Amino acid sequence: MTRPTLLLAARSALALGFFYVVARLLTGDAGSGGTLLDYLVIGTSQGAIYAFIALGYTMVYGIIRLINFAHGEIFMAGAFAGYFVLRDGGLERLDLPQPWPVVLAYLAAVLAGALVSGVLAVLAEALCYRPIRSSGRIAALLTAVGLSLLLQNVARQWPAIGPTQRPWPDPLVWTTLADVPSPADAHYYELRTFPASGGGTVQREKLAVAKGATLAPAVRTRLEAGGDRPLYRKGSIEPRTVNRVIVLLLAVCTGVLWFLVQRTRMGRAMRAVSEDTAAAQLMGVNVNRVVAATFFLGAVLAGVGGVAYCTRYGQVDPLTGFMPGLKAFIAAVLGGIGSIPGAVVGGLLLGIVENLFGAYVSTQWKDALAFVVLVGILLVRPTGLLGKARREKV
Amino acid sequence: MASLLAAGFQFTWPWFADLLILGALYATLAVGLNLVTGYAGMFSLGHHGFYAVGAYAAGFVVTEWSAVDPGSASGLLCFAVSAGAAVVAAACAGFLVGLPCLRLRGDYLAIATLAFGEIVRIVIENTPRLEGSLGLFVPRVLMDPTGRQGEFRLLFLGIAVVLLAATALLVRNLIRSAHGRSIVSLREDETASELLGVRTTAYKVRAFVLGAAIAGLCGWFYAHYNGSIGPRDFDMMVGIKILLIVVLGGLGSLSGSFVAAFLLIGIERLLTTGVFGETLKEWMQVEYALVLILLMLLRPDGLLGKRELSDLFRRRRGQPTPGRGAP
Amino acid sequence: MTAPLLDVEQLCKRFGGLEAVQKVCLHIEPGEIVALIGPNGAGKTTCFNCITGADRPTAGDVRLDGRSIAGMPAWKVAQAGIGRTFQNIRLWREMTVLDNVRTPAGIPSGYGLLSAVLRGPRFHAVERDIEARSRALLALVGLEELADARARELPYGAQRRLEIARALAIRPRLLLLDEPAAGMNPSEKVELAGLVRKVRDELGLTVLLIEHDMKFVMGLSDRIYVLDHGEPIAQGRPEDVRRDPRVIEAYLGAPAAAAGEAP
Repeated sequence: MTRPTLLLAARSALALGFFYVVARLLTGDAGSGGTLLDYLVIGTSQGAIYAFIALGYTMVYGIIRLINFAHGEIFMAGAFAGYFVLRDGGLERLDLPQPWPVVLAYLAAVLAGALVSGVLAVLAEALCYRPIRSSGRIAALLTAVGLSLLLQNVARQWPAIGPTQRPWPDPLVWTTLADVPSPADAHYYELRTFPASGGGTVQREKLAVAKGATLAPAVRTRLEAGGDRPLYRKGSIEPRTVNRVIVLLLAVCTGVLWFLVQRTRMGRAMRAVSEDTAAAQLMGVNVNRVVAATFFLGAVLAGVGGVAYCTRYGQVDPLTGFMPGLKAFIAAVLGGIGSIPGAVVGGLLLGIVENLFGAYVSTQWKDALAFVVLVGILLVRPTGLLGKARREKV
Repeated sequence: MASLLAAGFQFTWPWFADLLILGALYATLAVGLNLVTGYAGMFSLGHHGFYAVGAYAAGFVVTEWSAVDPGSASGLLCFAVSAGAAVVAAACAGFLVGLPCLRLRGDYLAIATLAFGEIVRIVIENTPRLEGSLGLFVPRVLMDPTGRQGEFRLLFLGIAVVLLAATALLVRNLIRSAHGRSIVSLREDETASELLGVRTTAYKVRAFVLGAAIAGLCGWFYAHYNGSIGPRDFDMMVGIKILLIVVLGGLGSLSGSFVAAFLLIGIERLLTTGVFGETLKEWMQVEYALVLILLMLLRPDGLLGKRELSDLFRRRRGQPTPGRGAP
Repeated sequence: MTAPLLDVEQLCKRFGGLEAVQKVCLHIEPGEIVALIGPNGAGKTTCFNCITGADRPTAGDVRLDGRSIAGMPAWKVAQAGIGRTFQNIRLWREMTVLDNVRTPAGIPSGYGLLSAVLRGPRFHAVERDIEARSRALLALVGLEELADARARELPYGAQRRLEIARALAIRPRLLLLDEPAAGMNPSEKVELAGLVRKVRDELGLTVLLIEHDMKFVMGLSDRIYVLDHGEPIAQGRPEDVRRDPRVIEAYLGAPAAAAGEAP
């Protein structure tokens, strides 16, 4: 067999294996145990988050050859936006059939994350990156590093955000007494009253019920005493659901992105600027607008990723963006920096490999693995798995 | 001065000496990085990794050495041997990192070196022998500082100054030689250099290893001066601080690195005393970041660009400035 | 018949799907001035790159003085005796004019790193020699007055001449000039032609140059090779080449060839 045929066979096998894993994730129960399939599923979901962030890195690099070190912080900003919306938005209190309030709450969080990240990125580009576009590589790199530090530390110092870790808000699911199962499957139940329109305090009562225990008669009586008041059950979304949503979201976003880049005028303009900025400008492309749009799109994806990441891991703090940002960057390089499919492939691959390593070798050194992968790919194939080699004209 | 005293701050010799020592230390680190990034044009974002390797190598030697009386012959020997260990370890690390990575250019090299810096940190934190995040305690071998803080600082200030002078002289002489010109040509146009006979990879490795060795020596100094070392002494902020000093002073300007180091360390130390207010102290990291960004926006060449302080004086007298490379 | 200094045998270079250079053969005797011409995109610079080691040939061989240099790293090729200038000027812009020449003049340096730092008598002797040779080369190209200026401050024509001085500094046997007359006005071109002849006559070098300016090439070269679309289409003395119908067709198109026009 010739080398190209072998490569094609290997790639097809990998792709098929991957689709199998995704299929099992979407249809079955995979992801919660300790089998190989479970680790693959967790890795895919983790990898999907890397892919969200990696897409932003790769798009910006593709268009202006800049490694946007601040991208991890854009991710963090989106996560915080989602956090505040989830915590204080109150959307879960809407009087709609379940599970819509929770779904809407999360939708709002994702949108908020996407928007905040997007706007922040556009501002960063206009204020910091655009002025130094002609100043050379070191200036660009240092500006990016400086911006990353700035955002990280402003977030840490800002009173409303602060340096401490915050738990990700649990979704509240509205239920009725009849729906309360026995044995209880959540940690506690709350009685709540909506505040009266003319004012008045919110009545609230927390009743802790141990997980797995049956509802004691006294507790049930107390709940019944609440009458028709709505009953809230605090719980977390099943990891299975989270993983599914993340992977599906990635698929949808990738599809939309592909469509935007390949089939719209703006996408064509982006590709043109990425190939040859000067020529594109001479052809009448508004380079500044294209660059801003690229930053916005990449950041939107990162914001979505931020909300997804924090939902999965249950906490958020100003340094949340650092490690995932770095790893997503490695994923982008792995897939080929500048290549959009490369970012997705690289992200998924890194997530899977990292999880398998953590499961079967060592969790302590899991972080180091990503860096070893980086050095490895730079030595073997610096342009990445799917990247194009850029020749220097002598 | 009045505000300093009003804040109840004691302007003592140990504090001031500490400032000078750290200034000299960071200036030396900056000189090493300037060789790699300013003269050879190689983006190194992981330089703090070599600093760490040197410090831990020295620390390892000292902790393995049998107990010594500070100042005795055995102590001095330990001091010297740990220096050798630091330099060799850092140089080896520089070689191991450099040889594969220096085939890369620009951005790719930057991220490869960044990865290295992080790998070193992770290794330190996960190696029990090095005490991880608790910090490695480095016994005193040269002098016991208890009760003699002033003298201790004076001694180490002397060592720091010698270190800085020697390193600066080494780099300066190297740059103003045929080898130095080859190195600088790498920064200007590496492709042309290679096509005109410069052994680019060999010189890149040499510059990189030398920069690493200098950083390693600084690590040795810090281990002995501070008495203990922990991963937080060598994290990315430190790497950024060194880079900031180099860029602030001017990539390719040795005297610029001197000025910038003392300026930055001086301001930092003053801020941490709180004389300029608590808010400025708390927001120090933000201020660093802002300085970096503003510097890039307004004056990317730094304070002195590629010139040296001597050039500024020469200009005033109306003499032509020599190009970099004149012996 | 002396052995050729440069022997390019069936050189091929492919970039992905593009055959940039196909079966090119060049034989250059010592002391010749040979030109390589052809329309844009004919593969001339690619040939240079394969000869100098900037690119690796897909097939074929390049021999310098009988020794194969194909696939050798570029610095080794340069040190073996081939100096070159570039189509787009690639000076070391922040270095002074003198340093631009001293850098290759100091290869190999003759002293080690330790000597550079400690500065013994050997260092000073070698440096004096390097400086003397460099200033002589600057004088040759007429730039000795500007020795302390930064390369980027030079006007365009001076930069081109500096590139030549720099290429000469590595003491080559063969000098490759990639469009040395580009962007020059007629009087500068006359001076350049004189310089090239001087380089051949006084320094004993062999010259291979790429050029578009026909008059410049015709007046200067001993022999000419013509490439079109990566393939050799003609070679010989200037008078013969300019009348070759294939050459005319390549430059001016088929009707012109039929009409007997000369490029």
